[in-house]
Amino acid sequence: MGILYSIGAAILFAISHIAVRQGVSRLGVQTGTAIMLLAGATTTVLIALLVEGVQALLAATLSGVLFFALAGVFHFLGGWGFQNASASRLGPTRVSAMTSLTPLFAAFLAFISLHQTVNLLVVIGIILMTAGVYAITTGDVS
Amino acid sequence: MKGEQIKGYLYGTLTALCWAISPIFIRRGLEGLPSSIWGTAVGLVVAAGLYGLWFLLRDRSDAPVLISRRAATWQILGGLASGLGILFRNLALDTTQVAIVIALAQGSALFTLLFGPLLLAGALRERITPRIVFGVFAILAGSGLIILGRTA
Repeated sequence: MGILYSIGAAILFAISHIAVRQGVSRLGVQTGTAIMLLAGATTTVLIALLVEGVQALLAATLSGVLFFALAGVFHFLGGWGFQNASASRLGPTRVSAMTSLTPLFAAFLAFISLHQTVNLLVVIGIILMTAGVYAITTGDVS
Repeated sequence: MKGEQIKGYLYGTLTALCWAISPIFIRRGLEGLPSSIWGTAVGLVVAAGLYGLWFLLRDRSDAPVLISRRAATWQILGGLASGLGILFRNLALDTTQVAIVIALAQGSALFTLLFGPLLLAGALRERITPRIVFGVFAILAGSGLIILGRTA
């Protein structure tokens, strides 16, 4: 079931990249991001209330809520804002490819903060990603 | 490459950086709020609240005079799809190994490559060249190897 959910997530992210390209090209980045955040927040609160009820939230600690709030600032405020700014200038395929660099940054952050070692697989992965970014950024842009 | 394109790639890179940072806080957040659904909702409500405050107080000189209903519908669809995508990913993380979930979720680039030409019309339709296809596959393969390498 987890694999189906993961593939479902990938399809939903792809739909989002395409829809955002359609939306921000006419609305502008600022208005587009506002509408996107409002729609996302309303939907997830409704789903949370329906699936888990309000008890799960009331039982949470303050630090738990604050850490999720911080995560939201980075993921939704920063991430969605930059994604929309990127989508207004590039096509969805290129935006999607650039956002796939996330594991590269995650590995870099783990290397700095957790002092994780870099093995051969990671090095080959970094080389492949760099080649991919080079191919996309230097390719034709319509 | 034109200036606007360079900005586009820079913003795309910053998106990936933001998305790499957020799991650090999510991991800590789950200790005090063991519900990924509520965690996502809290994050989105806080982000929407902060952005809404800024949006109301900003300089409105570049705001569109008329909001197109069609464009707003696409943007709402974008928000719903992204929000549901994160919920799906978090539900997957409850039952499946992190490396598998993250690697499969990165497949969004592949699905965008497939669906983009079908759903985008006119000037917004991208020209997909073999170079772009190679780039997407190289990034996906590299992403998979980094995830595998970190869990090996």
